[in-house]
Amino acid sequence: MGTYVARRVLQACALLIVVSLVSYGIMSVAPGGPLAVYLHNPQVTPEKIDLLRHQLGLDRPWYARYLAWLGGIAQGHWGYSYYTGRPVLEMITERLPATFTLMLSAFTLALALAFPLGVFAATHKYSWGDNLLSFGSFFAWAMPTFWFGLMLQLVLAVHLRLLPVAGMREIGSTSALDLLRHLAMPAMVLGLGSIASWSRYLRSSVLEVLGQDYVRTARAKGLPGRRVLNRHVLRNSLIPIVTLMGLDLHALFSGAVITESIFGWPGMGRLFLSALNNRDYPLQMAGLMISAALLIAGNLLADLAYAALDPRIRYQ
Amino acid sequence: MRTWIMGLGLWGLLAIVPLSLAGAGPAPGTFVTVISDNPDNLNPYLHSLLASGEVYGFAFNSLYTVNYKGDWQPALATTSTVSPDGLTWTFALRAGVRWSDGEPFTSADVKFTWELATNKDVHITYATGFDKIAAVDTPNPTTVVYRLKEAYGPFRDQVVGAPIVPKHVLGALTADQINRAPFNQKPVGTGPFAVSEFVTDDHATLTANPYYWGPKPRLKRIIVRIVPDQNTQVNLLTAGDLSLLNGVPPARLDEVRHLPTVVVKRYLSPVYALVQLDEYEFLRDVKVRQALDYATPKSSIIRNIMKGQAEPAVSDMVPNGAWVNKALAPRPYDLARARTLLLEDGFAPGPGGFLFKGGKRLEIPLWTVSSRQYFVQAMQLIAQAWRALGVYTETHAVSSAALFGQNGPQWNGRDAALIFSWGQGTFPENKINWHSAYIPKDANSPGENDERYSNPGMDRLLEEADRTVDETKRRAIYDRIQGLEFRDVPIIFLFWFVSNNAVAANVQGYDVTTFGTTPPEQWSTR
Repeated sequence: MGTYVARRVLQACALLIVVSLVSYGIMSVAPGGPLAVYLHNPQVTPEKIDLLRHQLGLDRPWYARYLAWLGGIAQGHWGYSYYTGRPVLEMITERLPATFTLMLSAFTLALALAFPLGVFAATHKYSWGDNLLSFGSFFAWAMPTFWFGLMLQLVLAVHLRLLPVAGMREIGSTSALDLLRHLAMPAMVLGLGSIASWSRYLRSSVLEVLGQDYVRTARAKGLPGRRVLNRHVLRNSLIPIVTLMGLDLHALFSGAVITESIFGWPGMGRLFLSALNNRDYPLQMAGLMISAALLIAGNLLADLAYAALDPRIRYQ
Repeated sequence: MRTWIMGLGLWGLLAIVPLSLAGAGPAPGTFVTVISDNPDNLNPYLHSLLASGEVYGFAFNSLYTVNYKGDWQPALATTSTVSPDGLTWTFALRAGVRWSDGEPFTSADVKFTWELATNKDVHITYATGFDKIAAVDTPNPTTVVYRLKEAYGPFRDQVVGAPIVPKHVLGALTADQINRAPFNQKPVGTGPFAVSEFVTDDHATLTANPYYWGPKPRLKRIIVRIVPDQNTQVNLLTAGDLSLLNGVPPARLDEVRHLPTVVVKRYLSPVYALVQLDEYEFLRDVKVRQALDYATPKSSIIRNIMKGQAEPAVSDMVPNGAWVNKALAPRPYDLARARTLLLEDGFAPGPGGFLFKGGKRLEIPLWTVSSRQYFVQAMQLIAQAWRALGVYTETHAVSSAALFGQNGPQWNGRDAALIFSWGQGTFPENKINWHSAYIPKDANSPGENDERYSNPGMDRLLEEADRTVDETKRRAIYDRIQGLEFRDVPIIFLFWFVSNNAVAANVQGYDVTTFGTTPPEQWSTR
């Protein structure tokens, strides 16, 4: 197992280097550049733009810049943002708590709701409850995040005045309750898609396992229904869901961009979106690498979770 | 499962119980406003986004400043004199002024600001005009003498009105340290408010500067929230969380107007929309450009697309300002006249109803930025009118980074006619837009004169305007410059934007015009 993990981590590192090379190359040949923002600003003269280009090293070929960037990363330097002049790592570190709070809340909410809903739908197949949940899942899945977010704001914050419209905290507040109130709507919006898809997958997975011989045997032995469900059905139904959850880890990160924008949540999604818009290469690269690393890590975690769930799976 | 559901229920209850006074509005003495972008840098000379100015604007002063009526008034200086040759500008500085950290403000700070703005190793963005200065003398702590290399008319607009930064904070730093200084997030200024907290992508808090030289600010603090989504911003206003929302989105203006707790202030923004005509092929011909001006339905765009939130434009000088040439009037929408112009110019109708000259079809593609819905709609309206004239017109909407960046269509003339906006501001300086020296040479050598307009007469006038310090004479020159803009049509002026700011009813002392707002130290909340 240890060897397997070490091999996968090494593969992941190699993959990340390839991802970085391709991303850097594409980023550099894409039209526009970090100085585009100045080109139509009458207050910034062409001479100034030329000087800035030289100062930022943008007059060097892209592969030279890439090698310098890679060398920096190897030594733990993520570079400086072209716009703020601040260290990229510092900018990311200050956003991490906000992003992880939102991601984990959405993940926990999805986990807490998708499981009971999926199992309920499977064990009450074709009942009105199952039909309602099916309708609800497809509706939630099809609903655009920004629209749902704005509707929640209008109803819960503007009309009912139950929750704050946006932001992470009341300015100056440090209370956990205040954070929770600000978290409620964005976590709901971010987690909704996962609730919808996970509960659907779980439903079909549970239905498949319910028809297996060993479930029938367990029931024939006289085991109580709840024990059959928890011990024999649920555990065996989890494998496809675990894959999905591994992949969703990354999707929650990138999906947070819209949610963060709507709710003014000061997380990494907004940071990287503005880096993309401004062509802030060092920050943009950091965002791409974190996203790629999460995707790879999510896959690895899912693979490892298989072994824990299914004793037949052994990694060499 | 039951435990899960109970846990969730508890969490849900906690979340929805109205424990704070959501919707009760900002506390008295606190003024809350909102911006869309995260300020990139709060050093006035290092930032690139307008959003940065929305924060640091409260914290800095210049020698003289333009008030909200458009008049110059003393700020850090009390009086000024200019030598007859326009080469020496002398300022008497206000005595007893202190920085927000309590240190005294002196002429050394004014001199340092010039040194910073011209330091080639610092990532300076906004420093037009400082390069015209040969030396800055500081005979005593309250006198500053600028000695210019040549007479420079825009000196007041560009340098005298520029923020002064503290030498005691930045003076000892290397260029690289200045680029990354904590000052860039938490600056020290002489303005009525000082940045006390800046949480990126969340908010900046400015507290009343106890050392402020002017009238004591009536507010305790100003909070600038950073929320990118415009609809969320309106929701914040509706919920009573804002004192001021700058630029209410037109789609929600009616709704905001009907809010009982809000007053809407309408004013002309010093930003105009235009169609830039790149001087390639047929567009080199002034008759073609004039015909396109006649064939552009400007009034219809203002009425139907901008829903009246725009005003007609005839030149690049803001219509309610001192520099506009009042003798000019926009060309009316007149397709017959446009067609006559083109027929006189040698064009003849050909296959498909399009106009041809020398066997070549009159083709002018239209481009615009995809993120601005009103530009995309205006593009369709213009394309329709131009096609009716006999011009073969394709339409393209692309991202602004792709459009204006290196290797974008700006550089190869493919964006023959480009719809976008220019923030001219209230000052007349426009040399980089019209002078042939600012025509971009290639993709790596940017220039603001992207329309490639070249007229030796215009070049001479622009240079003369730069050299002329006497205001009356400068005004006459700018009248002639606008006359040439109108005659040669390097761009088609579409309209000036109108902005609507929503102010909470409990706010007093706030007003806004094209030239700015009332001084923030006069704002208060009941």
